[in-house]
Amino acid sequence: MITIEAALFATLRTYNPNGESSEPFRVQLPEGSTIENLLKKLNIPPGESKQAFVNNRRQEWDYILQEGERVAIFPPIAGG
Amino acid sequence: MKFLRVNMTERTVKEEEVQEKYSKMGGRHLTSCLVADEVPPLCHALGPNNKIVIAPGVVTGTSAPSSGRLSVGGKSPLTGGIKESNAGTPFSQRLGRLGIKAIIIEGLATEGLWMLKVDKDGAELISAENLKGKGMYETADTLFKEYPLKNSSLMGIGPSGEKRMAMAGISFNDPEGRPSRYAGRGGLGAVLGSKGLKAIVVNDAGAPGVSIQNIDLFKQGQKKLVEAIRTHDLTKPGGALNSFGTAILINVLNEVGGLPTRNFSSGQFKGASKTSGESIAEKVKERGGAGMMGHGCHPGCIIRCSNVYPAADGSEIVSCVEYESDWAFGANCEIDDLDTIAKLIYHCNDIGLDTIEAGVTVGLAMEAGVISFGDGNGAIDLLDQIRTGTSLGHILGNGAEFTGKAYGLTRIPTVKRQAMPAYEPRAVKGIGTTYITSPMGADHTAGYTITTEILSVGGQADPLDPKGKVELSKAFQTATAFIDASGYCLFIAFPILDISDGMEGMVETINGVLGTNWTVSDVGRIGMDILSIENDFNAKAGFSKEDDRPPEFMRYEPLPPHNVVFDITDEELDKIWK
Repeated sequence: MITIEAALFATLRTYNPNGESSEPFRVQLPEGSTIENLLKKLNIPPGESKQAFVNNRRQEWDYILQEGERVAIFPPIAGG
Repeated sequence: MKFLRVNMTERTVKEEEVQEKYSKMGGRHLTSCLVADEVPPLCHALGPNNKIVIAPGVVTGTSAPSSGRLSVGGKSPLTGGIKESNAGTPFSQRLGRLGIKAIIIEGLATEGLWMLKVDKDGAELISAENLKGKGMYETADTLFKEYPLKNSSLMGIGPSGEKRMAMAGISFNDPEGRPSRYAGRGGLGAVLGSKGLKAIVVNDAGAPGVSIQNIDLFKQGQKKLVEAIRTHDLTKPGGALNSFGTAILINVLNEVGGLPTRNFSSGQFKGASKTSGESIAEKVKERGGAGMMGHGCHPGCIIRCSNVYPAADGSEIVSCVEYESDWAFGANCEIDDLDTIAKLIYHCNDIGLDTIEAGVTVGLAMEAGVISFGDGNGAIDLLDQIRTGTSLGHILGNGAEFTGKAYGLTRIPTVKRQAMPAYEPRAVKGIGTTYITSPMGADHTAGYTITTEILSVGGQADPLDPKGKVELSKAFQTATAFIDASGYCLFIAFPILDISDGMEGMVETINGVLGTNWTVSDVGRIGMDILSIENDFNAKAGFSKEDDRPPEFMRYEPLPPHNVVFDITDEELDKIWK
């Protein structure tokens, strides 16, 4: 198993297992898990998330997570 | 359609017919063209030869969605180049409905302080001595008592504009009469101050409305554009902009290491989350009272990204806490308390300041040790010194570069003497290219590559990769110049970049109003024409390719967390307008 840090933003905050928040939390996953596996574990329905950043860089859904990484997940957002 | 020409020296107002040359222009296209035609590029920005041009967009005043924008143009006392500054306000819609294509303000009043009163029967200059030195909130209260909000809108300058400070913006009212919508950038408030014009009140009772050449085409385009805005995830009701406001960007920019922090010395702020759009929405929900998300800056906006931020007791602190202002006083000054940030924005609105220039300037004062980073009350005191015009206040009031030089600093985040907004060029290189090459000086709205670099809308680009960023920035800058001429809010770019029907709809509404036959392929051509006019003015004002450069420290000071410098070469940057 690996432990990663996850954070959910904007409308995805409701899927934070500790209650609606963008505070980071720890998640345990089997080795070789992808970001997509993480979304399933957190019960985030397909299509609700737009982008994921791992250690400050955008990654694809099939990115294989490593021990200790930080994953930030966002729905579609904009501003300016 | 007509121009109103206001001569402050002679104290006269004349109506003029619109020459053929200008008949298809609006917004930025018209302001930049008139400034280039009438203002000597080498004139002193605060002298008798500069002019201020105010122009609603082509479709502004019609029922086209989210189209209540106007442009203010002139020679900038901050940059020394041409300036177009843009705001969303009912003021623009009233001008459009009165058939006023532009107000041109020229000359200098030899005495007194004046305001311009405009209605369907004409316009006149009347004394505004009673408003001398007044903040914008008191100015708005006084004027709306005499000219009720039902039919009237207001434009004005605060004490900073009267004192001719280079960070003075121009205030317009929102639908509820707050003087909170700003054509903030480039110090055009100081130009109005130099001319002795405190305010304009426009009343559109009995106005004829915008003349539309082809109403069927206009309606067809309007329907397509409304559909695109209402269905796109970012702009639909309950979508990101509507629910969280533009400050929803704080967390994502922090996550990618591109949120300028502590006067551009890091790309991440520990307190970011406390200042985020999510936190604003939470406070609005918890505190209730006057607070609201989904506030609109003008009637007819269907995106509604603004907000009203409440105090703990539910009373209103300010409208609105948007991304750039939130960041300027938040991460940039390491202030992590939203209530304090909201108060600082209120002071800027009242004094008449561009929040970006003001926040970056306060950050420089913090770096110089005038006050400490994170000192919110100290920041409020600095703004008060600008208001009252102490010696320090006059240094600060002249902007980031002036202040940085006054204190011997080298980390001065400006291009063409204008302070950088809320995206770090070293970590997000396309927006850096826009800051560096825009004729406006450092301006995110001039070519918002964040769309593909950070938001993955309209394509995807790696923010850290220097490759292709010059082309990307050029494409955004040309399309933006066109949108700035149309009167539409720049945020329609999000849906129309993804939904081609929406793009077509935008062009059809413009063709409907003007009777033109433009296609989507004309957008870039017309945008490029506008940029060429602006670049040509700047060249005559003394600018050269050496002005299209990042501040030197960004070339040698690696930015955490990616520890990168700005690495697009000068040669690459120089290709953009060739």
